[in-house]
Amino acid sequence: MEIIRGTGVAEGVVCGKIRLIRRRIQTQPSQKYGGDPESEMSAFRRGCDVLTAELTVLGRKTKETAGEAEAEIFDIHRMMLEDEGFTEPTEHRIKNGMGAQAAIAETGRELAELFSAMDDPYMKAREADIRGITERLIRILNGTEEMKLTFDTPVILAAEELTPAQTLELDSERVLGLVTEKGSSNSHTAILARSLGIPSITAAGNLSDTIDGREAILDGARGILYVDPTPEIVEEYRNAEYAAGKPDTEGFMHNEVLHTKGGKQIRIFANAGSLREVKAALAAGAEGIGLFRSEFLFMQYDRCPTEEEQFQVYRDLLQTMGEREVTIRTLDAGADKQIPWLNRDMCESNPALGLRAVRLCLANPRLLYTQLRALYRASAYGNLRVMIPLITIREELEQVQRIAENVRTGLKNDGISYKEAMPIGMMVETPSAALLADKLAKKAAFFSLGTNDLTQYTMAADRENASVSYLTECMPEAVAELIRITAEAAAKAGISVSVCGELASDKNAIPFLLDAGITTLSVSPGQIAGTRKTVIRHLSGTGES
Amino acid sequence: MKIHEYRITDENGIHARPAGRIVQAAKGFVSHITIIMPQSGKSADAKKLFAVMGLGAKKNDLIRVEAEGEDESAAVEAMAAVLQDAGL
Repeated sequence: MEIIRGTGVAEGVVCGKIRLIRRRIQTQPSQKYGGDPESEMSAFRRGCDVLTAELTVLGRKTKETAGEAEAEIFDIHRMMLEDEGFTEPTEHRIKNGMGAQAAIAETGRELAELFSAMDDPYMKAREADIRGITERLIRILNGTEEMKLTFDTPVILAAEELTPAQTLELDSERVLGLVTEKGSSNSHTAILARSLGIPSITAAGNLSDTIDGREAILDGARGILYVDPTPEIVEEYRNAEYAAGKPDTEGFMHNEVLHTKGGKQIRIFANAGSLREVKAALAAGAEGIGLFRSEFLFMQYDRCPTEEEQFQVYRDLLQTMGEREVTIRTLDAGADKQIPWLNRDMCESNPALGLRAVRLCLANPRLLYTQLRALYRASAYGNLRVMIPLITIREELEQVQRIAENVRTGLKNDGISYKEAMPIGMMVETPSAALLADKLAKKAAFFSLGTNDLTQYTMAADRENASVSYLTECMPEAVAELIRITAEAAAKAGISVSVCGELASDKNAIPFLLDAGITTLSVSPGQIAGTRKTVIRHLSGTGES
Repeated sequence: MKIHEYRITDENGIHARPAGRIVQAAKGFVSHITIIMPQSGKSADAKKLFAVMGLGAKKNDLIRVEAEGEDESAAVEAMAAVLQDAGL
């Protein structure tokens, strides 16, 4: 048995086979010659296998969502990849000592020339196909291409770290548990894993390739992975499972309305990023959606989703939630959430402090206009609020409101129905916004505290960086002070203030938040019952601490 | 050897999708299957996608499918059917 220790970031115990994914398939980098032909050949074939599997899945998904004709292009790409016209010359080059990446590039160039020389414009355009697949293959080999997380059987996924796009793809039915070499309890991966209820460990240090395919038990609460567990360990967990059952959260699922002693209603909402999560939230007893991350919608496409595409998603979401309040956050891209088709040429030395979230939207007003129009149209179908991320100064909010006004005028002129009074509020997630809360409260319909970014910006500490996590874990004093200032300003202006960051489900922070006047806690679906429990305990004066 | 001649009627000629179907069908036979364009003298192994696409066959071009091997009759028939089905 091998024991691997890390930081437990999402509770739960699971047992299954480990699947280790590496972002890099070892190969000679850009070097033309000098590689070992045998290992280069195997790198080439593994790369082809990875891409073939991806294309197969993409083709199947496209067939389901868009239709057979649209999906056919993925079959063509797969055939190109498997075609002797591509594999033979590439393998020939590798046998003669060329590195796999260089060989793929050479063959790709040759085939692209064949097409570009043809006088038929349609065939000329095929040049892009061959360039596309060879470039993608090279990126898979040198590790710049993201591995797709698609598995045939349920696995315990092991990886260096997952990118935000990858975490969005995590399928809780196929990924039983997750262990990553890097990360902290505040990383995107950890947050998403908690929301999907996937037991997870981060900061597990270097994982050896030899764990791939082995049976393991993952304990997300203690942060321990037992590889090839001994019968004693298996037995221990089996007994613990029977002893514990799930009494900790049961009985707190019911929708009893919670009130403070002063008569204020406390609401437990959920954060979600897809319709699937919204349904999970409803099942877990969410009274509303306090944060719907619209990014996922934008990451699904290789272009900006149209107003109609967005409208349909927002409408479905509102209809699913019925009368319940739903807060949708406008596109929060940039920094650690890159959307490939947007700002692809942007090179920032400090993206967390760069053109992201509302800043990026205001730099592309068309994008924001389209999203707001889709949101206003959807507002007719439920109880919708729109939330703007990362407002730092008043002018940003005013600019958004001007665009919103244009949207309303446009809809009115087009005779399309919408709710005139749909509230537009903002996230408080920079120290500047918190310190200006008094002034901003006059402009915003509501506040929502994004404690993850607020913590990162206040403490000047990256939440993905495990070595400075001592600054961001628990609730730093300075962050508590900013929360207090924000809640006070909201109370004075008579607007609501909620918390949608990780602090909202932190049992040590909840008493403080409630005492500060926060009335809505928005947490991941998996944390609803636990949060409800902590709130009830605090309100009845039987807090644990 | 079995031969089938066909005149392309599709506006786009043998573009990527029909080429893919031709190759897929050809791969199902052991016979050696060649597509020849008598006008230009170009020819391609029907089991190789890039070769078939590389023919650049356009509307009104005549193509000749030649199959040689154990299952040549079935192969030529299948190829004829594919050309028809693909709307070429």
